[in-house]
Amino acid sequence: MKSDYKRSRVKTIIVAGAILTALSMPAISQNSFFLNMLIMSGLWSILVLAWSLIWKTGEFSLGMAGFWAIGAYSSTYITNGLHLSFWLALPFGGVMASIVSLIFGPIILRTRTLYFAGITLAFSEMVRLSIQYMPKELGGGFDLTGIPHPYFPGIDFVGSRVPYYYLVLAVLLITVLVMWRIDQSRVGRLMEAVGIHVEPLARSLGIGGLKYKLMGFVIANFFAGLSGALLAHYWLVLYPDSFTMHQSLLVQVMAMVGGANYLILGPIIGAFVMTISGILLQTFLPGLDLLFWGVLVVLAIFFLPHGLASLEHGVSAIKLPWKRAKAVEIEDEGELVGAGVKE
Amino acid sequence: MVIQSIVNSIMLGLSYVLLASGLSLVFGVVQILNFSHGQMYMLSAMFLWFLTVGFVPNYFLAATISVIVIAILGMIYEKGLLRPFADIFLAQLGVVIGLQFLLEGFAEVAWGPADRKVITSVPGNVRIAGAVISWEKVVVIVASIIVIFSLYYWIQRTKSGRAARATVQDRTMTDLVGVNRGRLWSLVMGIGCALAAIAGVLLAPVYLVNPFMGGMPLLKSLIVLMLGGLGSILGTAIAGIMLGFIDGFGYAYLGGVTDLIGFGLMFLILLIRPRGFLGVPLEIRL
Repeated sequence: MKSDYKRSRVKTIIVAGAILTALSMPAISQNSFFLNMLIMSGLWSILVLAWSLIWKTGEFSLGMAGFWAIGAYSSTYITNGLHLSFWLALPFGGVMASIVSLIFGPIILRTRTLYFAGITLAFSEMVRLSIQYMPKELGGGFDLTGIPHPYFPGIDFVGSRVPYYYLVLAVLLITVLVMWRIDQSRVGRLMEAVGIHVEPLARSLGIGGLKYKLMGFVIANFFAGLSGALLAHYWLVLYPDSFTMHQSLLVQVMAMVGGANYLILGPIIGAFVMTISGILLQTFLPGLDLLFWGVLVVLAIFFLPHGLASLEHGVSAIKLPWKRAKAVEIEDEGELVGAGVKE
Repeated sequence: MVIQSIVNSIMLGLSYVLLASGLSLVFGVVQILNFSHGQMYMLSAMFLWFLTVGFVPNYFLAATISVIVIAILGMIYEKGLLRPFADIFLAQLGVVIGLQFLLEGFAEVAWGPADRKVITSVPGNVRIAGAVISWEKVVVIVASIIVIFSLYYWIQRTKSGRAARATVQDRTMTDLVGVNRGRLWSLVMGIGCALAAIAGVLLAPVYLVNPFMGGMPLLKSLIVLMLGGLGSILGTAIAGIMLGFIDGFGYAYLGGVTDLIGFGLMFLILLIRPRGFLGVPLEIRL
């Protein structure tokens, strides 16, 4: 008991330290390149956090870029098309992504595991194409320019990236808080109960699989939409090509590098590592980023199957594949599709 | 125009059938949705271009070499990267997705991101009922039909094909009757990648090739997979040809919006008949 108490105190200190560091980042440097890296990492972190909530319910969503795009374009429609305030557009992006996932979620969730992955991937591509061929008046088109900066009396969003950094940080902290609360709550445990290998058991106990999966899906996509809305008003131009399959898959790669089974720590670490390395490579060694990411994720899966976040247990988290080969063979032969109930 | 569209549609449809049957085979037997399938298609086309430019000027010889190389690559990939994670869902998907990035990055670093044109050994055109059809397209159609029929023969008549079909139906039982799981998986992965590679080398002279062209084939074959149903070559063939006609005529008369029709169809089939046209009832579904 005592060590638990100690552990939680250490955790509190670490979290507080991390938040303080994040708050004081602009004091270290106000270089716009540096802040750009942090802002993009924050936006990706929100997206990966949303993904990890869906993964908690046992589904492997490959459609995050689609909901990102929905958030970005719907919020832009509010500011650019209707000329309303950014502070209205930001939640609207999230709400719109939730509504879309509420409509399509039950259809998509008719499938499980690999089918779910394929369908969500196709869905995100469908969203991208729909936006691309949507008339300009409805906020679609090949390019969308002239998105206004956010406006708040007394804060200069135009001249400096610092206010935007704090905005992203605030949204990220809210996301983390919500995820953490869900994780601690009864709903969170129920979401875990309908997860990948145990759904039949949960159903036999009267826990509706669809209900909690849909709940996770909608909540997660709300945050994906929020991240999209922030992205749109950060970039100020939008192309449908920024939301391709590649971005969808990048979310998984980030989660996997960071540690997909950690709801909060893994996604944030993964997003920061991948985004910062990506931006640095694109700037200094263009053309190498894809190769680097690919090698990184394959290495991570081989040597750190639980991601970078598992390094919190020390070096022992590093697994050597040739030593593990035996263990896998002995491991349960349970089918990959064990999640499914046979008809 | 109409005849040209029909020929284009048949060509597209057959290449979709090739791609989707590879994906479907791997999905059914190895139980992994191979997200680097499109990259195998891309890699074979890029490798073909590399060979025809420098070493082997003959298109057919170079294409054969390229397909064999990709098939071997697929086997190594299954044995080295996927086998250690058999039945670990997340890690397998991670490897597959990571490999997509890796192969794309490799092609970009090795051959540059520019568009390339593959020179074919059969230049010129043929006139069919007033429409001008290039010989390349005829080659695509004939070769695809041959490959599809030999695939059908393999899966229906040979011992390993029967084992593959049995694995799709019931994995545990197939293990019990003594099918060598590992060897079968390697073989199937090799054949799956080879099918993607065949589609790649056949379509390479018709279109331009670049390292990023793997995305759309993957999505198209996903659509065909969902429409046709898992574990049925005939269903895949019907769905592939159908999508080929939709796309062939759509690209000619509507433009790029056509891609949406395929996705729309996929969601429709998911609503009204989730197993696809001729698929076996899925145990994955709930």
